[in-house]
Amino acid sequence: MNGWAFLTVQMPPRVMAEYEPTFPPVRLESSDGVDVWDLRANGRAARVPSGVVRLTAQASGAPPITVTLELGDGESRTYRFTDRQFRVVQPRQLAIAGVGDAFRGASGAFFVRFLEGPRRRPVRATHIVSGTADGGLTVTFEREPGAPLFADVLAPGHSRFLLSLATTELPEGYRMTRLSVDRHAPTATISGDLADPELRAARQFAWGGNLGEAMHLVRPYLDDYRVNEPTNDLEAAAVAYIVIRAGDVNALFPWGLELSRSPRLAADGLVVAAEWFAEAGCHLTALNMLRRMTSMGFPLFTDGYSLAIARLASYATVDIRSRSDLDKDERQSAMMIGQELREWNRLEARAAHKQLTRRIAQVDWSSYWIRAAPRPRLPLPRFLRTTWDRLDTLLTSDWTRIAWQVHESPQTDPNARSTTWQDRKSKSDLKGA
Amino acid sequence: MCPASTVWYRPPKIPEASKTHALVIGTSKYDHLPTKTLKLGQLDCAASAAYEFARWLKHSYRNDLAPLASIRGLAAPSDLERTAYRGNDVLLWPRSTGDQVQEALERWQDDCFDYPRNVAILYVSGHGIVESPDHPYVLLQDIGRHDNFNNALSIAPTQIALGVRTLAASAIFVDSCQQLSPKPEWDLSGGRHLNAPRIALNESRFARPIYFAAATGAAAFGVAGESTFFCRALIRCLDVLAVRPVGKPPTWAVTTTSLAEALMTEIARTRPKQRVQPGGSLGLRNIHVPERAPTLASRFRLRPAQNLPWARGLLRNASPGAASIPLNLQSSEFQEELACGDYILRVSSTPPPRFNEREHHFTHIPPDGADIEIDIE
Repeated sequence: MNGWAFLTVQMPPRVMAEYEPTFPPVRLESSDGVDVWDLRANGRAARVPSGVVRLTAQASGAPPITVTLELGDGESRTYRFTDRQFRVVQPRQLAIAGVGDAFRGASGAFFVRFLEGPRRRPVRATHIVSGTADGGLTVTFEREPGAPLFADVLAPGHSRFLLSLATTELPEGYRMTRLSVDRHAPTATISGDLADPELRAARQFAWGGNLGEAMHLVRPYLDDYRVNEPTNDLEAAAVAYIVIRAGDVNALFPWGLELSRSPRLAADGLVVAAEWFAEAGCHLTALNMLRRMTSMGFPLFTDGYSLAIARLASYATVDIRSRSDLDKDERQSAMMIGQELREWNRLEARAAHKQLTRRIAQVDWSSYWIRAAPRPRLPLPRFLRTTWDRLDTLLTSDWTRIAWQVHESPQTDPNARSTTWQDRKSKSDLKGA
Repeated sequence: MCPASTVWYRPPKIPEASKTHALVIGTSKYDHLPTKTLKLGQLDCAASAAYEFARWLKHSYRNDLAPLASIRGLAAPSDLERTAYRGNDVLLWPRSTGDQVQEALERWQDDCFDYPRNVAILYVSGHGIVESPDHPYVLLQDIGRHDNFNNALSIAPTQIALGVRTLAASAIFVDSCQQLSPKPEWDLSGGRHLNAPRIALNESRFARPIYFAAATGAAAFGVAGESTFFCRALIRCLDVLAVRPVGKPPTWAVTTTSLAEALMTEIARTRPKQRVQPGGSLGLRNIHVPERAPTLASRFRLRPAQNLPWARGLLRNASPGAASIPLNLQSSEFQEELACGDYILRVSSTPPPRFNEREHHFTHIPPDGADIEIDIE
């Protein structure tokens, strides 16, 4: 990815109220001085041009407060605007955010194990968990683990949570996956890390409703898929979900229907194909695909999971006794033959829906890949974080203990420098700039 | 109280052509709200938001390809809302109980399929629960009568069911919180809804957006007895902020995508804690075509201020045949309410400054309007 970085600006509501008259409260300008983007999405990461950019906040009747930043390609940074200053927010080195909450200790440890297959059994293949320089984890498997692959994370004070993971191929048949700190989020979270940042950004746009920008980002992929078969199934699945959100389901043909052949993305491929068939009116085929999907386990993508349970829940409510006032021609359409949903199909849909939602108590719907808490079990009490050795003996050997330490972060960005200061007071406020 | 099949508003002349049929549901008062399990309280703004949106549809909605043909309304207002709307015929709307809503949904569906290429609009406000972002429920007046979600409106099957026949487009507005289900073991596969298709038919709609007032897991807000922030923002967007020039020659229209964009911006501006979440498939289609170009403020700044006494301005819409209007340039910064469009501002001077007859071309469109700096040096 060249030429883009991720920037998050947080502005507390009280400050936002003060700065609202000059909405948008914070503006961003690229080096050529053109307004390219305004930070309307308070606290959400946005894709901005890398290089030298300028952030400006201005309350009505007050001088602007401007700071110039140098953002590297693919870099992600978070700023908080309070007390008339932009302060950089350093993501914690390895803070653990469960589903719906965040762990804020200064140091500690967590346990992780890897589960494979629809029944989520511990991975049988020998695997090595090692740390990376940026605080993440690399997991190398001796052979391809069964799909779907989950990381099961156990942290003190939290319910356990599951992260869906994809693997990549290494020489000699080894497979590798990574867990990393999601630096795009204001609260650092660990997540699977093999996603294309461009598509992650497109998903973020689609999730935020900016489908125009999302489709703009995936258009080159679609143009390529029109003539060449997708070479990267992960990439193709991500594109497919954005296309579905944009309502252009016909653009999935034929490449989207081939995704179910991918061993690691079969479940996602079936969800994508089910959407295509449902759009064409073949609801029985769509239902059968979703049923097949539930026997395979889970989709890797959160979008896939959401679409699957919504469609299954809908098919589970088909009223078989409902009147059918279609005309004769419609009834005899070739498309319809054999596609009528019957009572037993409704029951099948209900069973598949239950199977998919069973043992999933909570899902982080904003996550790119599935991040879910299994059926509620009592969270580990916080005091256990000081008795890790004891816990170590209680857990089976499937679990790996990961110790971590939060480094104190500087309060201001060393790369930030003041530019057009019109107010001496505010200039003196920016210490270290 | 009217029966559920009652149509609240039907225009006097309904063309024998494609039409728009709307169903509006607002529930503030719940009879058996399971406050302990769901931790929800009674509301004071959901029904009034529904009234407000229905009134906007009645008076302002315009779509040449599918003119408005009917508005059905169901509501359960709180006492405060009942007082606020005393004497208004919206108080005669049937109650938004599960059975009534089911009947109204089916009648509305019949109307929606009465002619090819119709448009369906569904607005529903009240408490909301989601199982997934694509599978939300909005709670109805008698939720809690039984220990399930039977008396809640299920959006996902309704959305699918609308696509099986001949509709050209649908728009669903879910003005509710998107709280996650507090008890995962609850059966979330019921609810009131249109029946998803039994028989295979192609999806007929070019656009089928759903606009959620809140992001998944988050809350939506309102002002007691008045309206919700989402409804206010929605009406403001439909009237002004989401209106864009569309097509060639351009006509002013609100499209599915411009509405999503404008709603998100407007809610972020007015309620930073709330975030609109578009869902369904936005597609691209006009969903409201205002009769006239919207009017909003344009900002003018003149520099340097000392030359102002000699400056004269004539403003003319760039469309052929438009008349010029003099612009009062007595202040260095001022705002002028203008109908949106392309404009030509001709600035002239009387000596001594040496500027005369300069033309400034600018475009004045929502959401921000024009912001012009004029050099009169």
